[in-house]
Amino acid sequence: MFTRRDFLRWSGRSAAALGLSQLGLFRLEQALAGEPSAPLIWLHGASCSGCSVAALNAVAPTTFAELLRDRVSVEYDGLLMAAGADLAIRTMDGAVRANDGRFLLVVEGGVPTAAGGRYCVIGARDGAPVTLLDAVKDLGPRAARVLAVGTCASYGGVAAAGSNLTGVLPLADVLAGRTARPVINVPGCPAPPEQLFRIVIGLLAGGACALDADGRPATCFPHTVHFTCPRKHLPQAKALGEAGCLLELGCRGKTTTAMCPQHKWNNGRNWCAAAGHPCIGCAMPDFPASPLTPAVAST
Amino acid sequence: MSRRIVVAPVTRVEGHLSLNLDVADSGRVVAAHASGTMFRGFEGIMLGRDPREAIHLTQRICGVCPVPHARAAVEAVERAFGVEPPRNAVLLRNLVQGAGLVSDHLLHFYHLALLDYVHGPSLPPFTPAPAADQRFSDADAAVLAEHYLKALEMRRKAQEMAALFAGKMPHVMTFAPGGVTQQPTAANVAEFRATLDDLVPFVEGTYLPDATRLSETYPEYQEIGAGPPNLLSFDAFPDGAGGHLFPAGKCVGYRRARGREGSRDGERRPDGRGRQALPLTDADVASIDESVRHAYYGTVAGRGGSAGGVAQPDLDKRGAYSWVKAPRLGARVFQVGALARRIIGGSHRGGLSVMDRLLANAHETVQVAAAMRTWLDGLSLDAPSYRRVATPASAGRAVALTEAPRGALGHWVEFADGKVTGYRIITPTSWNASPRDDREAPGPLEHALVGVKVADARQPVEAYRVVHSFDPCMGCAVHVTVI
Repeated sequence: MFTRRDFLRWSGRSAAALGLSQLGLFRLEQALAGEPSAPLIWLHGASCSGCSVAALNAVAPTTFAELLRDRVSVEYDGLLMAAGADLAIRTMDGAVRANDGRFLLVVEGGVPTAAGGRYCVIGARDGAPVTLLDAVKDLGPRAARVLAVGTCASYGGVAAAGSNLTGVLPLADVLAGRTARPVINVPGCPAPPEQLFRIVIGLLAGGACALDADGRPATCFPHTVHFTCPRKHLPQAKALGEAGCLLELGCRGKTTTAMCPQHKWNNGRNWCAAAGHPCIGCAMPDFPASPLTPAVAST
Repeated sequence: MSRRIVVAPVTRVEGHLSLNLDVADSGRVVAAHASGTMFRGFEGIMLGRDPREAIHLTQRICGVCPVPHARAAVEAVERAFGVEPPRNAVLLRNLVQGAGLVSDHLLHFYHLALLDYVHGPSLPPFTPAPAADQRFSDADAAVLAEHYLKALEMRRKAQEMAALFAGKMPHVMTFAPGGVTQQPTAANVAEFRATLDDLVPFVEGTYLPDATRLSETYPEYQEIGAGPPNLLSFDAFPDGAGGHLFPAGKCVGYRRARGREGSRDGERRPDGRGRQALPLTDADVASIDESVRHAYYGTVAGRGGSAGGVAQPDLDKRGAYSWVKAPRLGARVFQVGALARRIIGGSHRGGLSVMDRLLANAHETVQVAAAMRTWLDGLSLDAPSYRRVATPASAGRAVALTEAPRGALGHWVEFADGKVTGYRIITPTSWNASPRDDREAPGPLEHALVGVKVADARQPVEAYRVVHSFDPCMGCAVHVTVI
């Protein structure tokens, strides 16, 4: 199992990757030595829970279990927490009060804003429904940092596609002007767990987490898929499954910013183009664009 | 007299679920209403798009069980195109779907259900926990906590196995009309097999024994939470030669044998009354309809066996209390899932209960893990797994039925001029967590909760046990008919 010592060793190796100075690293070591785990609240909105499943699949830089044990205190997570009903909501309320201004807020899924947010009710307080919209507006301003996990929370994604009659908005739009620091987008369908945990660990270590124009941590989303794709110099594939460049089959790798060719998926087991399928642009603000893979639709 | 308890949220389920329980002075639930409390409004996403995009888009209904959606979507399109996938593709899809099922059943037992019986480690999110009747010793609870962690690793490995042929998990990339774009190779087959060799000892030596022990430790839950005696399964996991690992069928008026002798899985004999599984006919499938009487939709959604019917949401509809619609077959309520599959498949002759459901999942995980070896052996590295569809049909309609871990799943597609004109999905949790229907018959979960005795109304752990035995997936249940 991963120990605190391993974590320190890992952080020392990755201080640059985390955007940490030596001073930051020193503060991190101090923090690890004395402070209790950082509180984290994970809310599910208009989501499929795929980002949660992906987070549970992570191994590097940490597994979810290790993060839980060593670094983060998950005060609320509807998918995993033992408590339910009133006890769950009171637990969340208590955690927010006790950690005002100090907790991390993770939102997975889109935030429906139409009809006062009534399209997504996450629980009840004293018998009255609590909408996701209420919860993010309440918790967002009180969080140390807010993460929009997955393309739905970051940009609307599948939840906002089509006629979007529930009025799903990106989390950053819902919280515009309400948070002390900008919302951090971790797009991807699902959000790549390597990036997510790298960002969380960096934040815990006091990293500033500089964002690019699409609200992503610039160091985590530096290239297009095509830029590092091992297939880009191969001849064009004529059919799915062939071992060539998939550009003419509608691959969105040239316009999609993501690290898939490097970290791949499921701890390096495979990834989309390696498995013979074009990139569908799942980490981009316009996902799911129509057509998903332009050339395929035109054949 | 009864009073109403609002249980919101029900945690440890995929998505958003709440319950209203009417509880008598004795503590017994006299009526239950289950509400899906999130609506994503997928209407219009698929309409007007290439039908092949349903393979990717419908998976986003559920990140916990995307594979059956991908499979139903690709097979519906293949049927409409008149395309037969190569045998390799059938087996690869089985392997991805099988690995997904193993991953999902492990997540369900250890990470979603178990905390209703055992306190986890004393740190969040395991604390605070409902003050439930804890019957395991501290030593046993510590062992189960270890298994909880081990199961996290095992379910992760099962996802990695699926990704070898799926490209990534969650959300399969490789299922396309004409096959699977990931060709099996010596390397990926060997890696799949090696990971399976890691998984099988855990499934057989830890998961099944833990589920059995839980059932023995809480024996009253071998009686509690039966639900309606009607069971439904579609067929799933084709062997490429006309057979299926899970046969389709229905069972109406299932009855358990009487007495303690019959209380164990597989040891009972049918009493002959409605116990035999009947074949599922095309007329049965055509008779599947969805009631929206108590769902927040203004227009009737389902037309028997077709893809059409747009459901407009109506938040203020009188009498509505859920975003889940109420699918019924021949106007009857059916429960679906591993227990239904095992009864219809002839491998369970016992009761219907919380523990029967948990054990059915565990036995089925053993069964699917074993079947994966056969499917691996059947792959041919020299044969194609994908054949390009040169001229896709521009118009057509088709239905594809399969089994998700939680039960029967159907996709209905209609398209013209290469664009989707109707797409209908009925998911397992739509069956199991459905609200009351046109005849006021409660859904299976609502039915199963009646009679449950709740000790602490603020923390109704007895109700959680019943709910979690169905492993509700609310994202799936509230996906909307036409997307």
